[in-house]
Amino acid sequence: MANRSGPQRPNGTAQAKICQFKLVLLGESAVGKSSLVLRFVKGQFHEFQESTIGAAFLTQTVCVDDTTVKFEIWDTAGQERYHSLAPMYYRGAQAAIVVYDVTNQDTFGRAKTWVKELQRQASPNIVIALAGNKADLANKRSVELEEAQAYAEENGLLFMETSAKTAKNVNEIFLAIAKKLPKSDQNAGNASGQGRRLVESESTAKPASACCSK
Amino acid sequence: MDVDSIRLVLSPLALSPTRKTAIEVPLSTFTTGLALETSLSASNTIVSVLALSSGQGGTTEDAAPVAMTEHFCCLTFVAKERCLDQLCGSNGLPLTPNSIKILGRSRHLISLDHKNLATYIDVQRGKHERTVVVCERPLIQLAKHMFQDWIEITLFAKEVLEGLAYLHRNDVVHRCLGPDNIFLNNNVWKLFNFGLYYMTGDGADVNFPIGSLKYMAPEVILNSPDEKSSSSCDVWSFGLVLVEVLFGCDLWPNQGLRQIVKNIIGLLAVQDVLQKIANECGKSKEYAKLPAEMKQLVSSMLKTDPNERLPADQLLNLEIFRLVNFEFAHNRKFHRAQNRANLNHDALVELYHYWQLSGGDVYSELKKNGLIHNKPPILSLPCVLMLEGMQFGDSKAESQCLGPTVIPLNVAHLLARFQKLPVSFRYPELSSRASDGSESSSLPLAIKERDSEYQFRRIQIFKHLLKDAERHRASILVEASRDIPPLLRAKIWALILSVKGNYQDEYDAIDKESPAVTDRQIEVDIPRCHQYNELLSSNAGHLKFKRILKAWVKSHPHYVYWQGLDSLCAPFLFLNFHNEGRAYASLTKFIDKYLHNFFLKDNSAVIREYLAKLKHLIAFLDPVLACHLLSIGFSPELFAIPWFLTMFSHVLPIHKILYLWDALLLRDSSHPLFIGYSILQQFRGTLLKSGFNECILLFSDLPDIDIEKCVQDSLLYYSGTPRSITYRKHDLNEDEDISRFGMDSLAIPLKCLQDEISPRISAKELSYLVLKPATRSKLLVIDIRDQSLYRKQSLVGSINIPFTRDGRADGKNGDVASSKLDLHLLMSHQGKLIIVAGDDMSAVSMVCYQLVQSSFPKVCCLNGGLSSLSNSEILR
Repeated sequence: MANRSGPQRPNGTAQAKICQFKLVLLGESAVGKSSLVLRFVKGQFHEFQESTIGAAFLTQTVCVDDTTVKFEIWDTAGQERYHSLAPMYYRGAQAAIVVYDVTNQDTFGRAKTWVKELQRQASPNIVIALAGNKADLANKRSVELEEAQAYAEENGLLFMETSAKTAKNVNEIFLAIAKKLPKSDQNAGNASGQGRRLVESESTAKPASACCSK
Repeated sequence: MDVDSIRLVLSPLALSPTRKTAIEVPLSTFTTGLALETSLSASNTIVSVLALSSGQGGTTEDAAPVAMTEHFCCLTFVAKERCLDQLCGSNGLPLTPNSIKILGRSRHLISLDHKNLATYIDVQRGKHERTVVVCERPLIQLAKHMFQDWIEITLFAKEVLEGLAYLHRNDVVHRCLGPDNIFLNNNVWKLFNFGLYYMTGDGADVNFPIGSLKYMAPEVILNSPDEKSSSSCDVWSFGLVLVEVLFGCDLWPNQGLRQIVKNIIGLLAVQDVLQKIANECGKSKEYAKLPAEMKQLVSSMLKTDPNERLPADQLLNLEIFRLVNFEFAHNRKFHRAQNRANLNHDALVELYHYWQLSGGDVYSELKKNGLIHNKPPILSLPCVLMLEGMQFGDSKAESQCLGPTVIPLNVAHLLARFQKLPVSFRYPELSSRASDGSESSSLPLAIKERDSEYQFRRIQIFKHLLKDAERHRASILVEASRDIPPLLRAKIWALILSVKGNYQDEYDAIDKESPAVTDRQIEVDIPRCHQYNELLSSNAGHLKFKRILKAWVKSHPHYVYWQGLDSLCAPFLFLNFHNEGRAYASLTKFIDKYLHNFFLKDNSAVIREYLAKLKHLIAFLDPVLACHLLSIGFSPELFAIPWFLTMFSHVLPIHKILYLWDALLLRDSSHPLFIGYSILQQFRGTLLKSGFNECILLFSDLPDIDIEKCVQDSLLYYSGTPRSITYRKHDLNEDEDISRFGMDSLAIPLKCLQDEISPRISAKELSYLVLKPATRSKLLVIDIRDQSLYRKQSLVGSINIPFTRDGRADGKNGDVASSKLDLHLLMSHQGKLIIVAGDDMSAVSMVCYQLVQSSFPKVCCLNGGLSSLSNSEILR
């Protein structure tokens, strides 16, 4: 597989199309959201990955066929209390990965509520992927593969069991999302950055400029 | 030994008044004894050691007696390595290495402070699971000491039992008590190596057995090795030691281990163990002569059933200890002794601190003494390596044992250096304030913290002030603003935070064990919080972490656990690792002061206000940066929440948090905004060049920050900014400046706050600034009302630039600075504090925006407009 190593640079040929997509990671805390992103973006894994407060932002580029897809990834805080911040990050996102921990049934339940919320409140054609992380601990699993698979099919989600620790299916899930995303001309060459749009959609981020700047 | 005369003292009769006169003669030494007693207590500190050794005349390194220069020693052992199949726990995280577990437990030992225990000073973790223990130096081994009489033996028993009772009260079982681990240090009996069993998790974390077989209680031998020994086994061991001392013999000499085990098990069938042993040693005569009280003591210790053995504290109530006049016995001992004393717990820790600062390194000492070998790597290759990673043939025999060698660490050189320092360093109370401006205080903090002489001086100053902390509070704050010596940081922080009263009892009273809803969150957060730190990653660290966090949540029912509270707790736990109560109390005070209402269930109003204030501050101090960040949509919401929610403890490593909070603690709750601004300033160049993505990436993984510069800059910005600029409605607002500057009037709706680009200044503070000649020349008030209103009444020294909305309507900007003359006029005022005043706040805010866009720094607007000044003397 040509895309296995993850980061693929645009080859610089004239035909290369560049698309930017905003992707958000959601899920209960300590399921491995930050670890998945870190593995995907930097190829690293930290056993004691510190908790995320607010959100973190990272970018990574992958190649799908003749298109270069640039992911702008918002990695959110998992604690339920930070929920009120979440809409700020998933609003306007074209893709989301909802993560749960295969060894913890509760996190799967939480993942389902995230999916519901996205279906209700995010952009209607958002691509949602469900990731059952910590697949390396399969002998301690409490969420069966079939159960999650069935749920994903029912709701039209991409689904993979991943392991940020062993890198299993990490690049694959991002690639699968990249393939599923519509690479129309609208997205192509949108160099101004989707991340910025995210901020502008946040009502409070508009200062006095609203009234007197031109 | 004159047995009869001793009987005299020992027997109850000796206490009768008539007899008392008979021993009056030796008591005449009492006065000299007292004098010595005073010198004893005085020489417990380093300063008095210095005074003592200088009193001895020429204090060359050789001349000073060993006891004066070797106060501590080190020894080492190696913990069990984890087997390959035990590398990961059930949560997929790697299990804590045994040496880290040991390190975590060791802090409890270091906190123990008793005169009959050889103080633990430091425990370090080396490569390959090695643990190095630094503790008080043992001097004369029990075996080398000749007891003069039974009084002395009784005194010996009393001191050892007191040490044991203290240990048992603190949940420590010695387990390897024997004559090898009892020492006489300057006339005080001390238990040595008492923490080995405790810190190795009851021996579970090491491969070697703990204990000296001969002195092991029968139940220790019979129980499985995994079973935790109870404190009664120490009583047995000491009973056996005492028997040997009383009979002056070596029990079961030249016998193999097997035979010794047999002997001990054999004792199980015996009624009177003491008599049996006496017979075995051929000491029946001596046995017969033993006072009944002594027999009672020893038999109570040598009960084969551990439940029948009296615990150490009850043994001390036995008859025999009432017979001896210990004051007399003690002083008699001093009469013989040289004028020397042991350093107390704190002094040992302090001295060791200096020793380390002056280049002392236990590892090099261990290497020098051949305890750590540098083995060529080729020799440590295994013979067979299985595919799964199991290995064979790598002999580790030597490292698996506990090294019996104790290496004394010499401080003669260090003391000699300290002696050359001015006397005022030693006695800060004698020195005048004026001599403080020494050249070293301008050096970088990192250098000052490594300078043993500088630290010596600072620590003496703080120790003096801390003696009466309440009275010296102001001086402590002044000294702390210079720098805080790391050795005393925990204490000084608690003092600055006004941690008072009986915090330990308060902490103990909080229920930290009952399950609560936040448990899962706390449990998943702790193993991710500052885990590079060995103490915080140890099991003991996790337990303490959890207890403190649960205690805080439990005792603050109106607040909730937000992720980030763990990070806030980390520096306090790290500093007060052996003092959970103080860690908890400091954390509580810290949150009260700097994070008021941040932990409300709905804290969005609090945080949004905070972030809006940061935005204002950026616009106020650096309009160019503010405009750039605004244009790329890089708002504080996206990066600064973890900064302020955790006071930077989530984004900085612990050693930097300590520096930062040293400064933060001395200032009010607006200071963090300036720190946040200083961090932005350190990356100003990059930020100005970058677009949104680059900026957010920069802060997603905060790059290295020069924390000392950050602190200094923040102080500069802080002092140059009017107080009301950073006023927050949601702050605790206890400050006297609040009413002085009428800042409560600044409590405006969040929406206004977020929409405005520039901060507001309160009318009272403006009046204050205008009335003060020093500040009056540095400010400019722009009155944007109609000329007619301006003519009627205006502020002294203000200029009038009327604002008209028409200008904006046809696409032009507001009137301000639109004409060349005005721009020129304002340009000459650039750098001054510019206050835009008017009655229509939305117009004022637009003018402010214009000025910020034109790169005018220090722009703010007058809260409430000119009407709020109506009664002021600064109107004309």
